Amino acid sequence: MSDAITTFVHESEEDIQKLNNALLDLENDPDGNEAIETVFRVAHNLKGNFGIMGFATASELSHAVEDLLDQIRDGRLEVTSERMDLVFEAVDQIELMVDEIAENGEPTTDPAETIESIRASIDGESAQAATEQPAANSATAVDDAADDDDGRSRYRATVDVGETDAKRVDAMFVLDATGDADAFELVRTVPDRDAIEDGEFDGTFDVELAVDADDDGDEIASFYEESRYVESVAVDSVADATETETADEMPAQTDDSGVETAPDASGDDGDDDTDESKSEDASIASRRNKEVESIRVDVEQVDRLYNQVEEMVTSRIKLRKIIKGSGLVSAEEELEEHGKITSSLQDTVLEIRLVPLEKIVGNFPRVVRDLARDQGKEIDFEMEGVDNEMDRSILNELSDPLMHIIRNAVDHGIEPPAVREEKGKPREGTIRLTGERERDRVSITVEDDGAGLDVERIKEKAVEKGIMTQEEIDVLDESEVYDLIFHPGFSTRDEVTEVSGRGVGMDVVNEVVRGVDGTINVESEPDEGTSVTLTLPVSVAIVRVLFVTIGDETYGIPIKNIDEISELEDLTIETIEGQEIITHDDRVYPLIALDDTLDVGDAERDDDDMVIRIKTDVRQVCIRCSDVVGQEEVVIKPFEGILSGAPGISGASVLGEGEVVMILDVETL
Amino acid sequence: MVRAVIADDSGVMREILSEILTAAGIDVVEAVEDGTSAVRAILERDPDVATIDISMPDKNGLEVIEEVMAERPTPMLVISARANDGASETFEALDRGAVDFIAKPSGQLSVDIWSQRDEIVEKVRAAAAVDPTTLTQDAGAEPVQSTVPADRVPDGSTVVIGSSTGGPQVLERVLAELPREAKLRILIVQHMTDHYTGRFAMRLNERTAYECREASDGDTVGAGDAVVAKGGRHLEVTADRDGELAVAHDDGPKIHNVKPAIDVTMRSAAEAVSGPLVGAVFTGMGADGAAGLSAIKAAGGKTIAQDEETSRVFGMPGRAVETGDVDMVLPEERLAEGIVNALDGWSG
Repeated sequence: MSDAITTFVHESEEDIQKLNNALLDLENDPDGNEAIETVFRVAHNLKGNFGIMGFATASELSHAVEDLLDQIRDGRLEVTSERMDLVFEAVDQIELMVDEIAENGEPTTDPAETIESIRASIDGESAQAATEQPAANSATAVDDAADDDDGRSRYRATVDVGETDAKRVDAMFVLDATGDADAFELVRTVPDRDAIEDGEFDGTFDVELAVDADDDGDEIASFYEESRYVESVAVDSVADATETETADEMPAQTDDSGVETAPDASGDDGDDDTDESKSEDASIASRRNKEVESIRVDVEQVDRLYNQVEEMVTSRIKLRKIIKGSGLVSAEEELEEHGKITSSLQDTVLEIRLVPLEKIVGNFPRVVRDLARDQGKEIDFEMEGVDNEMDRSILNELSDPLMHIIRNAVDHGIEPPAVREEKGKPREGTIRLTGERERDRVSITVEDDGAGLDVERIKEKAVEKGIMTQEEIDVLDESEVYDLIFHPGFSTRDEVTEVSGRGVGMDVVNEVVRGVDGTINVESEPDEGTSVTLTLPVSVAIVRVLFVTIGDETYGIPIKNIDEISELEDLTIETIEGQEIITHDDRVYPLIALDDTLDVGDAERDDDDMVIRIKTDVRQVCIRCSDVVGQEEVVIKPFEGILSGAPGISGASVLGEGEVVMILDVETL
Repeated sequence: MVRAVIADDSGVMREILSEILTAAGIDVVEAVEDGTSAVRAILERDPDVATIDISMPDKNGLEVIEEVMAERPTPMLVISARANDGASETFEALDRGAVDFIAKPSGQLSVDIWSQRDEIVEKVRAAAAVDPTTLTQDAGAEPVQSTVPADRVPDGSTVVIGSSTGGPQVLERVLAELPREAKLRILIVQHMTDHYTGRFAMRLNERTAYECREASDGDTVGAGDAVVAKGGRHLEVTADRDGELAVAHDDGPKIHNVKPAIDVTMRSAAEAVSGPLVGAVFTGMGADGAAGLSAIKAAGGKTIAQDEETSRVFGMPGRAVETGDVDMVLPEERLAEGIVNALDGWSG
C-alpha cells in the first residue's frame, strides 16, 4: 500500500506540473488543440488516480476541473484570464492536497468552495436564470453558449421524470433519445450528465438544445411530451438571455455586489490587490523549496551496479588470499584492478544520481506567469535544454538561486509594457532559460530582453554602501562592476518588494553556486537585456586534494589551487609592517601560518616546515604548514547550516577509514 | 500460472493492479503505459489475459482491442472509468471483443480500489480462462432480427436468463432474436457492476424489440417487458398477478461472491411465477445459476444451458449441466430458438 501511495504522490506531482505548463500553453494559445488535449488527459489521469486511491474530495475537485476543461475543449466556454485563474487556483489546491496526502496519508483541505466556484463557472448561468438570480448577473457562460452557433437558436427544456427510484434510468432514456433526435442538438444538461446518471437530481433537470432558427419550442415540447418517461416538460427560449449580453460584455467585475455564486478568483482582480498578491505570493512560496526526493532508476543501471559490486567483492577475496600467500607483486596488480572496479562503480553510482534540470525548473513557467500577471507585465518565458542532467544534490542546491535569478529578471529586467513600447521594443518581454552540457559541466543561462543592468547605479550604490571607494570603483571595467551585485548586502532596490522578498540576494546565489563548485557570470547591455550564466559540474565535486598537517591536525587543499610546494628553509622570508612575506618572480606573497589562522595551539614551528604557494589567479598568498603528507581524490561535502560560510573552510571529506578531513578554502582563509 | 499484461497510462493504476494480481499468484509479465506498447506487448508476450485502460496516449484502448483482435485474439479486460462517457466506451469495447470490464472507483464514494481486489482477481482469472477461439465469433456482429416463429407461445410466459463473463454479447443476440410477438416477460441477471447495468439495459432496449430497462425496486414486468437486475442488488420475483410479475430488490449478502446472483432470481421465480417458465444459463465463470435451474426444473419449468463450444467460459453452464437438471444444451446461435421451442405448445 505504501508503495502505491509513493507512486501516487510522485505521479500526481508530475501531473500537476504538466497540467500547469499545459494550462499556460492553453492560455497563450486558446485554440491550441494539443494543449487542451494534454490538459484534459492529465486532469483525467489525476482524477482517476484520486479515485482509485479513494480520496473522494480531491477526486471531486479534479473532476470539476475536468468538466470545466471539457466545456472549453468543446468550445462551449471561452478561455478567459478569470477562468484560467480559477483553474490555476484549483490546481494549486490539488497540489496542496497531494502534499497533505504525502505527509499524512490523507488530504485535510476542504475543496468544497473551489468546487462550487468551478461548477458556478460551468453552469451558473442557467441555474441562475431559472431561479432567483437577476438576469443581469448571468455568468458569461450563457453568452458563450448562446452565440457560438450561427443562425441557430437555443431552448431550454425543463424535464420532469418524477421523483422515483427509476428517475436515473428514465432520465438516461430521455437523454439518449434527445441525443438521437435529428431536429435538435443537445448542448448540455443541468445538472450535468454525470450527476443525472448518478441520480443526483430531484426528478427534474434542464436540457439545453440548439435548433434551427425557424423552429420554435413547440416541437421540442411535443418531443418530450411523447416520451413515456417524461411526466411534464416546460420549454423556454434561451434567447431571452441575449438581452443581457450587452450588459455582460462590460467586465463582470464591475458588478460583483449581489452575485452569490460569483467565483472568488474571477470577481475581484481590481479592488483587492493586497490580498490577491499576498495569497499569490504564498502559493509561489509553497511551490518553491521542493527538493527532489526520489529518482527513478533505470533497471539496467541497477544491474550494472550490482555486477560491479560483485566483482569488487570477488576481487577483495582474491586480494586477501594473495596477501596471505605474500606474493606482493601480484597483490599490487590485483590492487590496481580493484581500483579500476571501484572507480567504475563510483561512476555508475554518480550517473544514477543524475536527474534532468527539468525537475527543478518545471514549475518556473507557472511562477513567471503569476509574477508577471501580478506586476502587469507581459512576458514570454521559454525553456530549452532542460533535459540536461545533473547530480541530484547539486540540483537541489540550485532551485532557490535559479528562482531568484528568474524573479530578478521579471522584477527588474523586463520593463512594464508601456515603457517597452516607448523604447521601441515589443510589449511582450522574453525570458529564456537555457541548459547546455559541455563535457563535465552544465551551464544554465537565464537571459532577458529587459532594461539591462545600470552600471552607474551599481557604482553609486557600491560607494553608498561602503563596499568600495569612488577611486576603486572608477578603475573597474564593466564586468567587474557587475560582479559587485554579488557582494553581501548589495541591492539596487530601494525597497524590498513583496515579490522579490525573502531577503535572498545575489550574494546568496553566488555563495550557493560556488558551494557546489560552480561559477557565475553576468553579461548586460543597457536596454538590450541581462544574461546570467551558472556553470556547474555535472556530478558531485570530486577534487584532488593535497593533505597538509599542522601540529597533529590534517587539512586538505585542492590541488588545482596550488602553484608550488617548497621547503621553508629554501625561501627568503621578509617582514614588512609585521606581516611575513615571500617574494617570487617580483611578486609579493603574504605568508599565512596555518597554526595562527586555524588556531592550532600545539604546533611547533620548525625549519623543515613547508610553504605552499597558491596560484595567483586564485589568491596571491603563501601558506605555511608543518608537513605535506600526500594527495588523494575526494568528494567534498559542503557544510550546511551554521557551519556554512565559515571562513577558510569550504567543506569536509570522509576518507577511506571514516576519518573526516576539513578542506581549506584558500580564498577566504 | 496465469500470465497477464497490464496497459494503463496511470502509473498508480499499473502499480496497484500489478500488486493485486501478483499477490493473487498471477504473473504480470509486462505493464505498459501507452496503446502502441500495449499492442506490442500483447502480441509479443502472448499473455493469457490483458487489462486495457480506455484512455491512453497515442492509441486508445478501443484501438488496441481492435488491433489485437485482428492480429491474435486474446482475452482482454477493459479498465473503465465510471464518470463521463465511461459506460458507453466500455460497451463499445465489449462490442469490439473485450470479454469483460473492471470499473475503477470514481472517488465519489470514498472507497479505494483495494476494496475491489477480490473482484478484480476473479475477473482477471475468469478472463484468462476464456478460450481465445470463442472470441471472434460475434465481435462486432449486428444483432439478427427475430427469426423464430412464435405463434404457439402461450401468453404469460416467463424467461429468466443468467450470464456472466462474455454474457453481454450473447444476451444482446438472444434478446434480439426472441420474437416480440411472443410477449415474453424476461428477467435478465448479468453479473455487472452498478451504474453499468442501467446502460446495458438501455443498449438492449435500443437494439432489440423488447422494452428493456434496469429493474427498480417494486417494478412490475408485463408482457413484452425485459428487466436487467441492477448491479449490487439481488433481484427477486415477489408475485405474479394480472399478467405482471412484481419484482423487488434484495440487499442481502453476496451469493457465489456475486450480487446480483442468478440463483436468487431463479429460485424466487420458480416459487412465484404461475405460468410457463424457462430458465437459461449462458457463458460465465463460477457456479451461479446451477441451483437456480434445478429449482426451476423442480417447479416444472424448462432449463437451457449454453454449450461449451460457444461459451467464452464454460463454467456456469458446465456446473448446471452437471446437476442433470438441464433439458437442452445449445450453441449461442440456437439459444433463442431453444427458448421459444421450450415454450411452444406449453403443457405445463
